[in-house]
Amino acid sequence: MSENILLSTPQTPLLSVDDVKKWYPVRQSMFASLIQPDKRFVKAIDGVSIQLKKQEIIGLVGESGSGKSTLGELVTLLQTPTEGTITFDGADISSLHGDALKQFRKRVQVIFQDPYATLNQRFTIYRTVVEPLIIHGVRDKGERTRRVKLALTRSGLKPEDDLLNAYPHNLSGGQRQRVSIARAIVLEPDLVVADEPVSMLDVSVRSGILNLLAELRDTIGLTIIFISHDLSTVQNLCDRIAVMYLGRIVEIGPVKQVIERAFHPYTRALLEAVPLVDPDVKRERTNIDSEPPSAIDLPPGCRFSSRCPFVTPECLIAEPELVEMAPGHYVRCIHPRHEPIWY
Amino acid sequence: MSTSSSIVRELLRDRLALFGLVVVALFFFVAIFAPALAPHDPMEVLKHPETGKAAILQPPSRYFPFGTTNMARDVLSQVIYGSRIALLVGFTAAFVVTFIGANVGLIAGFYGGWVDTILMRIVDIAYAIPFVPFAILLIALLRPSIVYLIMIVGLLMWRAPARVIRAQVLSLVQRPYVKAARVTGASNLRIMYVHLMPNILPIVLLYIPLSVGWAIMAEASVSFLGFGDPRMVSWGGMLQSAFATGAMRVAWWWTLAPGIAIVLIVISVYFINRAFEPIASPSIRKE
Repeated sequence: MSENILLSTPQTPLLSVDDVKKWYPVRQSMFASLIQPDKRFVKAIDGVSIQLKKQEIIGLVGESGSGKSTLGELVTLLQTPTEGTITFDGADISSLHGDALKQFRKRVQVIFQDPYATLNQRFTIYRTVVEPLIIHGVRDKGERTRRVKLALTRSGLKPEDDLLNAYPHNLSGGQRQRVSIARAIVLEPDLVVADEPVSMLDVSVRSGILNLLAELRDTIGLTIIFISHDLSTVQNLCDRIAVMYLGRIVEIGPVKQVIERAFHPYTRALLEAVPLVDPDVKRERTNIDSEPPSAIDLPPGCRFSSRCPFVTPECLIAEPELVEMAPGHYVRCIHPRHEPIWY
Repeated sequence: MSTSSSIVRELLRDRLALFGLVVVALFFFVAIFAPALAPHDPMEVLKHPETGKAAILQPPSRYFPFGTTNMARDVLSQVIYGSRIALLVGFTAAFVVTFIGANVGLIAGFYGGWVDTILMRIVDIAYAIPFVPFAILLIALLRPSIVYLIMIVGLLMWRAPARVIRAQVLSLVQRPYVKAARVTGASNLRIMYVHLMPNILPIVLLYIPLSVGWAIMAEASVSFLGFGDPRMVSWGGMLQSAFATGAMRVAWWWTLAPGIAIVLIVISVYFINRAFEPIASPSIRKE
């Protein structure tokens, strides 16, 4: 809990995640449970605290299995945490039900990665975008159409009849992703979780979507959790970056700080993995081994120790706490790196 | 491209399906206008217009195009009236089968867990029951009636669409658009019937012609075994009389007409069904 105080922002946060854990029990055979009677868990999220103020865009980065998507699902109540509390606008979301839950649903939306599977193939674009309005009881047809057109316009699409009556397969990947953004903003939510919204798009349309998200923050006051495995898409959009590794935040701070002065070896490895435009530049990379260890059997001490090139015996004793290295910039490492990062 | 228009287009493009549609439409026409089309009452004992004697086991002729039975009844009129039973049993049972099957599959696939386990074990039990002995047993306990027959077909045959639709739903519920609907606040019922139903509809439709075929065959089998509704003329019942009286060996016309009628309508619904397959699984669609 001490972390919360450290990480809190002066303004009252819109969303506050406090020491949240999500453990999935591992199914064992009867024989295995005889030998090893302790129940085993996949620790997808293992103690995460993070606070978001209004209109902030925070980037959650990490490789597959780091728990970033699970965190997104916990915040949107697609899953419930095993431990810890998530507070949205002052209310604990785990206790929501009935009208309060529906109100919460209205205020928190999601944009998914896959622009093909994210839209119902049998729904027209109009049907897709109007659905949230129908669910939330907007009865007036004219009002609905007006709001659908507004949402599509805000998402950078021309709400003409051709588009409204089109099916997802008539649209390109970028257009579909804009439709899914329109669906997410049609209810004018406060918080949007964007789960890798550009990683399946062509590089040429990525920046368009990223600019759109930045614009929506300013025009309709969105707060955005931007989940990505790619640091390069995060750096221009986000205010802060949280780097996740095996279910915990290992480094968090203002975007410029983290990109330019990353202290954690893992963050540095991620940064140095971003391809360069100039092929002749030689750089010393922080090399790390191929795969993260299993989230069931975590290494003792620091969970990055098994892959860390700078590991020392002290690293294996206890898991380090988040330490503030610069204002608002926290690192979970007992050997923070200070040498320049190679770009 | 909407679901319904694409289905119609697909059906019209397939020649065999077109043939099937025409045959089924023709049978519907015959069934609806049976009293006007049939030259005689199917149960009437007829006299031969030339000899004036009872027209027993007459081969096809000018007066009796499909011949007569040992009771001097007109085979053509019986085949015409028999189409009513076939279509009634076929389509009503198909509706019951797909209705139960689609809902069970949807609920099992959507909720998963113990709901799925219980429903799928019931499907396993339904698969283990052989149809004809089950039908005979129930009809012997109740009484021969097409209402019971429809119920028996519906009670047993929903197993096939239920299992297939469940498998489809299992994969559909993992799609992000289902998550998106949930995040928006859609209820389970809404997700199942508004979001998922349109996606499984092609498979549901696939089972309608298929179960029409099953039901017509089932009615014919049960009637042939002598458990048909005695108050009605059905094709299976005609075959049964021809067989039971021993006239089958001489009066080929008595079995030929109802036999062809059964084959024709079952083949037709299968042809239609065949054309539905590419619609249900677009991956095997030509083009």
